[in-house]
Amino acid sequence: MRNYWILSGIIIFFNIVAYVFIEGNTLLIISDLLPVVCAALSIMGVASVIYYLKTFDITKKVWLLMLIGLVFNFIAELLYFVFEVIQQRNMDDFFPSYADPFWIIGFVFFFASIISMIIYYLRSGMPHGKTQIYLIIIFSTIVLAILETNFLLLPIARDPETSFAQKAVSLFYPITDISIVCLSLIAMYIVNQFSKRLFSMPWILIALGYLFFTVSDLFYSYLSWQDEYSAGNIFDIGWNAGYLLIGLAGIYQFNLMKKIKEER
Amino acid sequence: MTAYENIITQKIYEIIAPYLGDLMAKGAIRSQCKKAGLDETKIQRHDLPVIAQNLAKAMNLFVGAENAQMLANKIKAL
Repeated sequence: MRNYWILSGIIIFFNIVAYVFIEGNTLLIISDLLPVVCAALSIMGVASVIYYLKTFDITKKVWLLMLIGLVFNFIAELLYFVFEVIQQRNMDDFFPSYADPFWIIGFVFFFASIISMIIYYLRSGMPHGKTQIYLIIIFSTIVLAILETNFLLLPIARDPETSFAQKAVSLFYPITDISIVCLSLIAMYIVNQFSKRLFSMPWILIALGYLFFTVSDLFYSYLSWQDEYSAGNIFDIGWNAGYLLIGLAGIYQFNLMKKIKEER
Repeated sequence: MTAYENIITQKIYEIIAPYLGDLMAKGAIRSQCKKAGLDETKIQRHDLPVIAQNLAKAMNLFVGAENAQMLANKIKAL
């Protein structure tokens, strides 16, 4: 686990240094390659949990859905790297690309994973916590959705220069991200009730990972629509951090289960 | 740490508190007893299988089925 933290720290530090000091084609390669590496690391982290869980029950289902989502994201990142770096396509003219359907399908699995976790928890008879907190989260999400609709979604939808496919994809990410933000905050609140960090850490990291994805997706949609998105954008770091946090969550979960088993 | 006067409730608490923490352990016992129609301060040995299974089901999501069952077995064996 310590090694994964160190490796993640090195990757993010390298990511920042690259954005600040490197330019041109080298930055393009680094910028497109790092998400592939980070997605692969997250798959390894989450796969360790699947490997450990012998019984196919809700726990395995939740983690498996997340793993499938990560695999789709990995394929998407790889395709994007191939199109932009190997085939040297101009991705501004190639939006939505063949990578986008994989991100979209990946999102569906992430959504299914986190909603399954929350529904199961709420039905399990464990303490739900304060209703006011749920209402505050939902209310904040609605406010965020209204702001997002006003400043991002409506302008994109009304833009006559944007094609239908571009509009559909540009709108998909921010709309779905809002729902993920809401679910992530609820998941974070639920697990935050556990005073034992080892127990709550996996879901805190997963929720944080999704929040990082959301921030980057929002900037990506806005900048793409404005034709200002280019590889090597500092906001790309959110995707890399998101992958690394989800992978770390898998490692925490694996260690938690192993620790309990050893205490038998 | 003593949380309950009822010795069986206290022992259940001692089994799950190291994993859930003080607050959640108490909350889990309360809610699972409520779910089973029991009074948490009056748990008896014959109530243990139901409480153990309910707690295992609830903890399954966080620790996996095998570990949750192991904790349930500890509770049943009290």
